[in-house]
Amino acid sequence: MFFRNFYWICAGLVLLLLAFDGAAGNLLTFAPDRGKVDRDPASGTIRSQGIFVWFGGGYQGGK
Amino acid sequence: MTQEAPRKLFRAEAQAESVKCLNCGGPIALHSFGAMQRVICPHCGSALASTNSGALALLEAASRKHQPSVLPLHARGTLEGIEWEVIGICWRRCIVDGFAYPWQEFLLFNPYRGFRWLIYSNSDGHWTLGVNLDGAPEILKSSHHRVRFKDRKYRHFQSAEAVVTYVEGEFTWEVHVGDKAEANDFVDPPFGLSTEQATGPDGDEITFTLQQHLDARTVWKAFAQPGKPPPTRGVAPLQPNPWRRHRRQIWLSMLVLFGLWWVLSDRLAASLHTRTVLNEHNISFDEPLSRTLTIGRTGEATAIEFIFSPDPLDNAWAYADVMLVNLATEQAVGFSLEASYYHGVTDGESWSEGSSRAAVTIGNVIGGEYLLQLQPQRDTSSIFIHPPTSFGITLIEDVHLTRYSVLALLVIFGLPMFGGLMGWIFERRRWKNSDYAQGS
Repeated sequence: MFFRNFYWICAGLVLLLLAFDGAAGNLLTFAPDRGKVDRDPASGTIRSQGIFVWFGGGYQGGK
Repeated sequence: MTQEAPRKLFRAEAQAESVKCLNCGGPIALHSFGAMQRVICPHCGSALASTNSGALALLEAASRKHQPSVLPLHARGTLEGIEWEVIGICWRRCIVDGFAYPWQEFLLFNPYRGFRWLIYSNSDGHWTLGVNLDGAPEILKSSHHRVRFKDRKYRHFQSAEAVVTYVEGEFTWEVHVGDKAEANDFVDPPFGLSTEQATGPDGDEITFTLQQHLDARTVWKAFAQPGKPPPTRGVAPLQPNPWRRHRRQIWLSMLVLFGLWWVLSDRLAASLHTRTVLNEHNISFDEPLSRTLTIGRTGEATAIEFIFSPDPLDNAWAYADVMLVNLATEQAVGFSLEASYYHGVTDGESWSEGSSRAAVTIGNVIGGEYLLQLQPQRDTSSIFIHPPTSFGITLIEDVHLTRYSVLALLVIFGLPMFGGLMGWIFERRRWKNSDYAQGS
């Protein structure tokens, strides 16, 4: 009884995962750092993880 | 005029008859009435039998000590809704390969249901409930000895000579310590058939008993015994295989689940529009890279694959810090990749490790316009190292993540196969104690 129910639950979960996350890949992929970047109100640049980024390309460098 | 006593409309309720042992004077309670053939005094072991007049006669005086059994004489218990009383206890044993395997048989009695056998195996602690067959099983011709009774087929498990070692209480046959019988056990768990052939002064007598495995806790609770039952060990001949209890349902489920997997995988493959968003090569390590890209469909989550391929990469490493910033939401995704490839010859053997490219798959990237920012680094720690001169990057959206399909397949097929393996191991342990064990 336990093994049959365990099998049904596990199989149901992996099929749900395939159906609802197979395209987006939220759970079974590399988990990168995510977060909202900060915008410098003066220069308009945005900042994240110590790297300056600004719209329009190019790299500012520094921290 | 004398008044006549009122006549009873019903018979008085049946009651156990209490008599005394003719040898030691100990009290003996009789329950089985006319079916009783032999009474063994539980106190001294003397054998008594009823005479034609109904009184007990001493057949054989004895002075052995009372031996405690796992259930006491006259214990009452309810099994499958029927109340039984232990009226006789018989200990038996067989010897296989020089080892004695004892068991205790409890003759149960219910005035409306008759007799049953409750059997406790001292060697493994398992219990079975037996009833005499109302017919004989049919012997089937096969390589492995089999018999059929009604709609079940039973495989031969073992043969042994069973010897009575101790008796007390009432019995429906003339039992003696030292009685021998040739026993053959056939199994179809949780049921079993036992045949016993005994030779007496009146010739051979064969009895067939249908048995069923009982859970030790069920027996203990039924007979209201204190504490826990003696622990069970190993796999009993009639113990149901828990891994095969729902075998048919599991294999049928597997087919249905595989069909579902097929449909879902097909739908997933049809919904993906895999596209290379960015594919650039010969990019210099001298300065960071910045590109504006459009990934996926706006607002929809997608999975991307990012590939970093320094060129040439020979006994060196290269590293990239990457950030993708969604220009609409300013949500950033940051990750890094390191590619390293080393090779050489040590003690005459060539070796290599690492790879000349690094790739990462990232899920749940919301579609939209992105700013890609990449800061490359390379190995310049020694003048003997030839660092890569350029690198390439590839970004693919809507990648097909086969890991989801593979994981589902592993579960759908793997668990039934695991259950099948465990069931097979369980049966191996069961048959290890049979006449058909490997090496016996």
